[in-house]
Amino acid sequence: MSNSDAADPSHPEDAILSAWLAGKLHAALAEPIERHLEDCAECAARLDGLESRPDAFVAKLKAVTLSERVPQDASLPAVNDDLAFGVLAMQLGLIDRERFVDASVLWASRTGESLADVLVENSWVDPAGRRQIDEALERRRRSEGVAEPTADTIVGETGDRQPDNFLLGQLSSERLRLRQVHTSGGTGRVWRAFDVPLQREIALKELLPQYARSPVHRDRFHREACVAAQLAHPGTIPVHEYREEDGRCYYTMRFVSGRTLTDLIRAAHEAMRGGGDDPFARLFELLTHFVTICDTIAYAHSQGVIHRDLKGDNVLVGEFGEVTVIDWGLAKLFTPLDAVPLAPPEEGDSATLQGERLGTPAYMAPEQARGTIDEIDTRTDVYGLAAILYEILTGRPPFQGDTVHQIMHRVESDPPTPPRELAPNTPKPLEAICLQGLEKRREDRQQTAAEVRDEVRYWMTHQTDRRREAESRAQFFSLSQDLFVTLAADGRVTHVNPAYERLLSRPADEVVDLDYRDTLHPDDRARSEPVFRAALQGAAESDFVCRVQNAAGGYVPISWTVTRTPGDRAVYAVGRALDEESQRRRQQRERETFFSLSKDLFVSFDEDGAITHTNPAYDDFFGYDPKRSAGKSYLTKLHPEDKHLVTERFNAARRGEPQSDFVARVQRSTDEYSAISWTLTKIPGEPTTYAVGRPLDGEAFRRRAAEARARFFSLSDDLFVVSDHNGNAAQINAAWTRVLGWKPEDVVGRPHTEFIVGEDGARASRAARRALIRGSEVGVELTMRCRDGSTREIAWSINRVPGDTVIYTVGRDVTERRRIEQRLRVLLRESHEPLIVIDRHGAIERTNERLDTLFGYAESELVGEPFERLLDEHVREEHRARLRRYLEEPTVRSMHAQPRLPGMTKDGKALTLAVSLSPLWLDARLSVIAAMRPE
Amino acid sequence: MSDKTRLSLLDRVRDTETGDSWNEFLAVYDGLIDGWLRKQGVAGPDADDIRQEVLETVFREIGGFDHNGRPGAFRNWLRTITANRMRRLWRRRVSQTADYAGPDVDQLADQLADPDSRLTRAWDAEHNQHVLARLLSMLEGRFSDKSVNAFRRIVLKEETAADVAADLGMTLGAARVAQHRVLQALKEYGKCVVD
Repeated sequence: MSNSDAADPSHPEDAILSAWLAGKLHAALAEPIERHLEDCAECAARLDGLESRPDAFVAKLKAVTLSERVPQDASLPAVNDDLAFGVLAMQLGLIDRERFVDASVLWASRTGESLADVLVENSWVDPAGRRQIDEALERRRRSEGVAEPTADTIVGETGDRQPDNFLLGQLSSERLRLRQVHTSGGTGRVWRAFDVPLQREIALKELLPQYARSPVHRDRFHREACVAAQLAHPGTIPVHEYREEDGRCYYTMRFVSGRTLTDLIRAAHEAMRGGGDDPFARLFELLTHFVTICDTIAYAHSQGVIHRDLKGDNVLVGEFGEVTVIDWGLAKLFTPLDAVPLAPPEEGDSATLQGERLGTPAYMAPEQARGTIDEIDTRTDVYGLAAILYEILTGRPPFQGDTVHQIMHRVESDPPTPPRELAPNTPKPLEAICLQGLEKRREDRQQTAAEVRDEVRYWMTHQTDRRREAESRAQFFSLSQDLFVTLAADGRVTHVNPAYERLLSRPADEVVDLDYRDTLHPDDRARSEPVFRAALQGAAESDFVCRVQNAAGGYVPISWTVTRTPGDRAVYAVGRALDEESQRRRQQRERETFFSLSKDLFVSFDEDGAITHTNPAYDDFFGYDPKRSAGKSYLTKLHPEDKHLVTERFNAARRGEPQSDFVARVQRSTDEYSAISWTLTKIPGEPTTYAVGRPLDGEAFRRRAAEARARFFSLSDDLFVVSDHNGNAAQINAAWTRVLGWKPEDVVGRPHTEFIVGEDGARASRAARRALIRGSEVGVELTMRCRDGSTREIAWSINRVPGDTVIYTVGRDVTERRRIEQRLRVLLRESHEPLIVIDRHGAIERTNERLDTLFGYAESELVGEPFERLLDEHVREEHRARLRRYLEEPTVRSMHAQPRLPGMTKDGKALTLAVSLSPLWLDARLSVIAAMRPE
Repeated sequence: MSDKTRLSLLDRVRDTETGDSWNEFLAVYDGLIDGWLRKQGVAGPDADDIRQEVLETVFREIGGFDHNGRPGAFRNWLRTITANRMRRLWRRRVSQTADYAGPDVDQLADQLADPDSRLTRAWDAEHNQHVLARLLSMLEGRFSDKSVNAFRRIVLKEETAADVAADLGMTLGAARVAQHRVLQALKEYGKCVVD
């Protein structure tokens, strides 16, 4: 081959190519390889497979050039030229940052026009200026390869252009000492400074000197300070003072340090990706900050201020969680009353410009991106809050792109990627809150910052509750001896507890995700369906018995309680196996629990008569250590004279004949014998015999009786008081509080007369004395004072307990009855109708004067007589039966609805009576009022 | 060939006989230091003084600078010089004028001297970014547009070599070689400076 020296036919080995790729080949060796590669497509293709690990230097280069955005298509170079033009115009001081943004917005909305065109057209840059910029651009492009500006640097605060540097004029150095530049923005920069008289660190924001000469800028800067000064909230930075001196403008404010929320979000998302700790805890921390931001913005809105540039970078979170919303430089005043945005006063020409100012593209609301200033209101900040929430949920802003143009286009026309597509663990309700806030139309968003806050806060509380609930439920499930199964709405098993696994010998992962029906006996499946469906609807079913398959293929009958999980469309079932052994164990456990609480002495024996178990009452009474009692024969501590009797009884009990109330003496640890009344029972089918004993000594009896009384009285609706022999209350029951409002501490130790209304006191004392002598006194009606100052009528019965020096007094609240009776008396007296009251047996209780007169009876003569007495003799029998039926189901019956009744006076005169009946309940006792009008 | 193998900016500056190298170095570092100072609010004449003194010191002492192989050795060396010059200026400044109202340069210097401070981290990032950007811009005089383009698109934009080659009317191998040469030149040039 003639050209063999130009292209070496022997292809270089992989090792050589790798060395060349890594730059490790000496130039002399590299050259022939390179020549070969240029012509040999085969070897060139091999290079792809040989490239080793990523190159750190290349990574750094990429990081630098990432911002350079080498054009990918024909349309983009124009974009970058435009932005470079704008940036240069700004750097040359021909336009300011806001004007630049204005122009960008206009430019973005027009096609076929360059940014320079827009600037010149609006006379923001004159043609000479344009030429100057074009030349500078060309020069810089030629000589320096200027890095083209990016979406971040255009609107962000970190433009690397250096403004003319001037010092802060004649700042009195006794008062303020500048430390260093903290941040630089478009027209201003923030210094860390030291307030000498007050010895504190402060922040000083300065309008850059080159802008301080312009009245428009000065006004704007001043307004910014004013807006910031309106805000006094823990989430905002307090402004100290504003000054203009020697042509310089600045204002001072509190210095706030901390990390930006964006930093925290980034750290949190990195940690979440790394797994490990609880992602919810991290999310909660961020959401807590978020709620505070919402609060701050809601406050600002109440002060008539819209922030307009909300983003994670404009929120500082201090070391101790203090959250500050910063950079109110783009903030805007509006009229808070009707939330209609108002063009700021003295704004000059730019006030009329649509899209006057702009936030950060990635976080910008659509109305800002469009530049429709009249649509910017508090809901623009709602969008900004949602954008921050988006950042919290996904770790990035809602919209991204390579250029301002691209981003703004997306903000206006594309829906944001749903957070769950970027972060699948995002809770759905949060996603919904976030996406609503990012709606393109303001009307579709939450309408206030407070609304966003409340929605997020509600989710957080709700979530906390549910987590707590779920945790305690899970703990309970895993410890329980009962079986727990949770089922999804489609009948899938979602969880079983260890008890389930143990009983059925089936591990959870084998059962989970099965249809629950497949775990049941085939005959029980159809039967279980209505129960499951009803439970899903919220109707719990208890003791539903069905058979569940175990690992061996057998079936275990289980009694289930099936309930809907609160707050979920899911069902949980609690089961208890019905097999004999577990049933027996459960009963024994229940008995033992029951007896351990009992005051009675309880002891169980095995079939040989050895003690297996004693309860605390038994141990206390006899004074034995329960561990040492166990295993001893029932005979050990018995009185020798009783051993024979007890053995007989014991054998009888073991034959299945329960033995009750026989007395046997048992030795206590003090050596004395106590007479105990015993009951012996053997449980059928079990080897165990139980003995329950009650000591026969008087004190124990009295104590038990007192306890029983106390139990009764505490549950009673009646008032109950135990007084000592001096008449001072020693104990009262809960009814005192319910009825009279007095608490035990108000009453105990005080004489009863303090609670009785004056004139009744003497009567009460007399009744108490009589009770001490006679043993009891009933029906003592007294007016009692209530704690709230009112009074109630109480009917008392006073009892001395035989053998005791105490007095038990029981009272019943008769206030209602007295009131009704009082009303009844008035009614009977005042009514123009003849009236009669009948008791539930049909006997006359009382009558009024008109009725007595009508029928010719004397006063009270009719009381106790049957109602029929007033009717014609011939219909009395029939009407007795009708009245009885009525009394079983008494209702109001008017005169019109009733047939006329033939009546009869005392002296036999016939009357035709129109009758009405109305039932009357007095103290749960039925009476009927009847009106009887003659026709 | 031997000229090309000694492309390293640092090496060339050490070889102080060639004035061009020094100008090249100045083009990179003058802007860096000046920009950095102004960003910190250090004013015109002060910034000029410091910048000049730093560059003077570098010029004088670079012959003795020993890159110990640890990443950032040059960056740190330059940082230390800058901090020292700032301190010196501050001492002079305080004794000269009482009503100075710029930043506390001494404090800035302290932070810059502290390898863990926020200011130092910012310095490091700016240094690398600035130098790399300059290096990239300097390529254009040294390589053909085609080569630079091939490099940018294959390495920085991660386009496939075959596509780029077809687009630029090169063979695949030529594109790979061009890409390789540019990268090696950059690496060599930035050796010991960007690390």
